[in-house]
Amino acid sequence: MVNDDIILKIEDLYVNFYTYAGVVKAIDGVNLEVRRGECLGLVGETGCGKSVTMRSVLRLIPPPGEIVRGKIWFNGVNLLELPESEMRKIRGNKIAYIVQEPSAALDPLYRVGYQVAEPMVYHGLVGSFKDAWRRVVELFKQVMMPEPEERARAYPHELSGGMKQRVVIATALSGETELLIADEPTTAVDVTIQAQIMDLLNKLREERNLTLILVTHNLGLVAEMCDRVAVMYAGNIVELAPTEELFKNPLHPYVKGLLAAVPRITAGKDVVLKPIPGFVPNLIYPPPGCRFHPRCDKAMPICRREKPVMKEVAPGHWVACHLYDKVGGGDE
Amino acid sequence: MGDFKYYIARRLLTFVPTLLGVIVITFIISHLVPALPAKGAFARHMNPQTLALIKKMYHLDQPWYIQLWLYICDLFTGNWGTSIVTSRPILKELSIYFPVTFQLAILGEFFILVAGIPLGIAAAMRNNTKLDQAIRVLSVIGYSVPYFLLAIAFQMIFYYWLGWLPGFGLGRKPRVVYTGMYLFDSILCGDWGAFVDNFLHFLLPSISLATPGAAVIARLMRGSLLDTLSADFIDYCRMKGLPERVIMVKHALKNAIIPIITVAGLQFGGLLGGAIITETIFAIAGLGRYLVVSTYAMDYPVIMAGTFLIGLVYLIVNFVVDLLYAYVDPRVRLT
Amino acid sequence: MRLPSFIGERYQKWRTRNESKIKEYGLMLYAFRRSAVSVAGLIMVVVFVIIGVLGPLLLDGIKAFVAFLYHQAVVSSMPSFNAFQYSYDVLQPPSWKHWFGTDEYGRDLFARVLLGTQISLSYSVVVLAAGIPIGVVLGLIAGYYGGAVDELISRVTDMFLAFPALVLAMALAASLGAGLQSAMIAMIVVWWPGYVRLIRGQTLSIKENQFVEAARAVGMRDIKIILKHVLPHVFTPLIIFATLDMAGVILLGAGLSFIGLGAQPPTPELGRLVYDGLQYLPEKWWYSLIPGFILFLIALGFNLLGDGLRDVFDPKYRRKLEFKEKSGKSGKEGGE
Repeated sequence: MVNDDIILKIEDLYVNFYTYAGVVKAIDGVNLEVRRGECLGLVGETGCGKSVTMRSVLRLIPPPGEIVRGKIWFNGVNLLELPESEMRKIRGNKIAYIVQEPSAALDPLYRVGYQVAEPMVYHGLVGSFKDAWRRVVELFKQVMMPEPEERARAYPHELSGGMKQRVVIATALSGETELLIADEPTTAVDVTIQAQIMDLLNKLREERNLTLILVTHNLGLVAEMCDRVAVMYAGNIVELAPTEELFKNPLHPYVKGLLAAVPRITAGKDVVLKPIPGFVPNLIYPPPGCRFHPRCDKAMPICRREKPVMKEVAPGHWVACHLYDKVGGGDE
Repeated sequence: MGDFKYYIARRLLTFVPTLLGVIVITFIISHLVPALPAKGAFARHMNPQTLALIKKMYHLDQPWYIQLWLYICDLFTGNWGTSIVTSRPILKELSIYFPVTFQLAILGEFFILVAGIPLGIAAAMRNNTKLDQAIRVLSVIGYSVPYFLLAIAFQMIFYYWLGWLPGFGLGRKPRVVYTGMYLFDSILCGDWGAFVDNFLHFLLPSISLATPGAAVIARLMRGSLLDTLSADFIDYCRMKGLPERVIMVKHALKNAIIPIITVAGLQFGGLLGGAIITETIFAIAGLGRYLVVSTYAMDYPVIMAGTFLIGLVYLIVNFVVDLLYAYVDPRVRLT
Repeated sequence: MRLPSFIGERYQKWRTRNESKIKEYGLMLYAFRRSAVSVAGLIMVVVFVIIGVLGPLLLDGIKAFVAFLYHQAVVSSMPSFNAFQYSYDVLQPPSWKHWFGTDEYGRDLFARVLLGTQISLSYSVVVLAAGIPIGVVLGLIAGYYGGAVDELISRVTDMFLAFPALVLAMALAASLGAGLQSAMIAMIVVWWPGYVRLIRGQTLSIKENQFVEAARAVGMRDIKIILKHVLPHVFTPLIIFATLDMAGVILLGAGLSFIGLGAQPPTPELGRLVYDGLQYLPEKWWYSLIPGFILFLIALGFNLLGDGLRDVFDPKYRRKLEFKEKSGKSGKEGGE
């Protein structure tokens, strides 16, 4: 299990949400390896479980949800078996999270500088809030916050959405960060700011040699930033490949459909975008076998019965689909 | 803190019209009074000369706006009229009785917060358990109890029956009286015997007065804390790896208590009103009992002056509460 | 009896068309029945409403019933139900003859409490029936139109809310002259501003909805929008508040009559009974405590009912219940 190259390994993860309408099987056996220093894109439509997977890494699934089973190895330690006190030392320190809605994530009653300083103080990285303040200003400079000293003294409601996202990024960098999880970091800000934020993340990643997991539904962003891409559908990872390979040669029918549904400037005007027929399944009563089969035009009888497992069909290119059962000659 | 000063200034600007409103309402009510000597059935039996004289005395021969102006002038120059029953200046009597009521209300507010907030927190932390349900039912019972029932019950149990606490009147007068609020005076002059005695005398009245308010606060606190705990920023605090205790105290409780501040201020009015009943039962010589006695005696000038004073104090308390609110919540200062 | 088939058909059609509505009402009923506390509240309210509607008739009924028992020789003596006549049975403790004891004039307190309850309930109804329409109309206008109208209405409302309710009601009632009518007018004046605030706030948030904007975009008249698209949405909070306020008004009225500002003697009123009994404490405890306790029960009944209604009208709570129902049958299966 100890492999210096692999910073994070998720093994056979199951997460259920016990909601009023029934048990939602949100994550259904996810396996994923993240290499040290890479940028991995985690792509899928809303509700496919990408955020839940990432929150499981921090063991912060909101109440009706529970991790049913699985293992999450971080630097060779199974996070799911750690006592809560140890887990707390990892959150916001070794593993930092950049949230979707920076506006809702900041406590309205405290100056933003204080909120950036908090994790440093409680992780014992600095002696006092006074010391932390200097670091905060430094971090604000790193995230290119204009007038960092002044901004640190501001309250959240006095900052714009883009600035608040910078505050959250600064918080993420405040610890001894190794793994950075960015959960749709640009949905809440304007397009122009989006580019700035992504540039900033890229720059910081190189400077500090961070591993970045970018959770998004924006395929363009993934193509631009990521080394590898994992595509999720209805609680499963269906395909995992180096970015270029995936865009050039998608294998899973869902991924093919997904790429065909994206408009391209290079294509002529008369190219019709092809939507994927049907709807995302209800995960309280998920379809048996492959969860995609009701919408799949290549569905076979086996798809209804058996859940496909991930197979490496080309070097580094994994897919979970019965169409490729024979190709790789996988284990079972 | 520059914006805080601005906030104070702006809040003062709305204070003045409301104060004017309070004055206008008391003015209107006191001019409704059919029982004033020069009005209603009473006047018909009077000698016309006397009637004219009385009308002149009360400026009833002037148009209403002049009367209002004179009324305002009187209020600000301390000429609050004379009690019909005791023939003493009302302001002087109020200055004796009001501190007692104010002290009772402050003590009541103290018990409201001390009981209501922890109960609310406990219910929220043990959401959907037996304890939560018990607190919820207790809370409904608490705010359904009429002031007088609880006051009488307490008096019967702790005074008549068990004999643990005094059931009537004020405590011993402290050596020096500065404010008329004996609890504070005895602290100021270090007369601890008087302090304890006064505290014991005020225990039953203030607790019985505080119970309905505490029940309301417990409920609100529960709801507010549950809302806050499900907020995104609490979640983000966990992502930052803050200790649970820090999240609870510094972030959840501080945010949850904000709506409570306003309601606690509004409840001060309920305490001042409830004092009318509580003081009557515990024979406390405060403004409330003075008003009841005056009402039974139809001493209208006293009733109106007392009403105005309570309105004024309530206004000032809410002004202070709003400042406190703005102090805690930076967002308010901007709006 | 079988229904003609076309009616059955219509009924079936109606059922399918309104399926979700029927299910929702069923769930509401279930949510209400599930809570023992709410049901207790409803029962108390029903009992008090019966007392309120019948009043003296109920007293006559009880009298007749006991007389019947007496003639059947089930009970050996007749209780006295004399609410107004003086007698020599002064300050008697509760007994078969005087169920709640007697006052200093030897009048029967059971009869007086019963009549007092009717008075308390009836003026709460009057106060709310007068106060709510004023509050709703002004609140709708202030919230819907905003601007200067809103400012004016809100300022006036603030003026009235600047006093503690009991104090303002006391000043007004005293000025108008002690009596039931003055007390009612005073309470109406004190009570309407709260409804302006409630309805104004609700209207402001409903106004934000797309359907109001859409109605305006298609050129619907303001008055029609208010009546068809705003008013129905403020109904739920209004019902809950009115139920809770029944308790509030009753307690306020009791406070006024305690100060001597309600119905005048010899008419019995609960708050006044408590006050009159004060001087005989602690030996003649029943005189003050029983009327006080009845007031508490009335307030408790309405508060419990209002509270239960709040849950019933809360869609989130209903969803939760629905889930509990389902998971109760199927358990936490799946996942494993």
